[in-house]
Amino acid sequence: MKTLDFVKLVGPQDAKHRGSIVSFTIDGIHPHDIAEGLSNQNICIRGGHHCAQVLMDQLGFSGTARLSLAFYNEKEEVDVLLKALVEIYDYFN
Amino acid sequence: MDIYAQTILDRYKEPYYKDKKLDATVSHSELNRSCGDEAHVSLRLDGDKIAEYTFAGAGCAISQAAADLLGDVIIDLSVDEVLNLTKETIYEVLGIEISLRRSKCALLALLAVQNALLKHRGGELRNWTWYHL
Repeated sequence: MKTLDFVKLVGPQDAKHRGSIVSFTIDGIHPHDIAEGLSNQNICIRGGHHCAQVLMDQLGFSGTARLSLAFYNEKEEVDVLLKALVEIYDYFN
Repeated sequence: MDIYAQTILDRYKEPYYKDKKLDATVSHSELNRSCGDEAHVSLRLDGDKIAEYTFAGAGCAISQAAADLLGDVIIDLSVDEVLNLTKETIYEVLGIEISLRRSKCALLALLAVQNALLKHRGGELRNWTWYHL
């Protein structure tokens, strides 16, 4: 995801220091709109406050999109995700 | 990729009623606690009619487009007519199917406007249960 310059990863930037759950934002696109766009591509993520409204306020985010990968996800699915994120970015810009 | 109706995208990117200066008769804010979106609306009444409307706030494309399209609906309506608007009116102007998950996005500005008018009248304010979501 770091190859997409419009995606801002929330949390440690080094994969060694994080798990497989990735919160991210895209400037100018609300997390719900990111989630809706991915949903159109059959990719299910969560968008919003994640029940952490106080933290989001503290961090200055209106919310984040949150991707949760697991052992059953394949690289091809991540490729589809990255392509969809580019399409969403283009759609709103 | 086609996520929303073109109307929603257009009014989200270039809203007509957002952040306008007006000599407001009444203002009111409502918060969608599900996602944190906030809508602040102001209305100028001319007698019993809605003469001017503006909104402020940030949110997803549906909430922002719905807030903007609401202006097209309510200008020149009477206070009673606006208070009688239903969620179906908003869903119709948005032109897409609104799922339960996004219903509060679509209705946040309507709730703010109706409560602004009720506040102006000194009536009891509404909450989400009014819309039978």
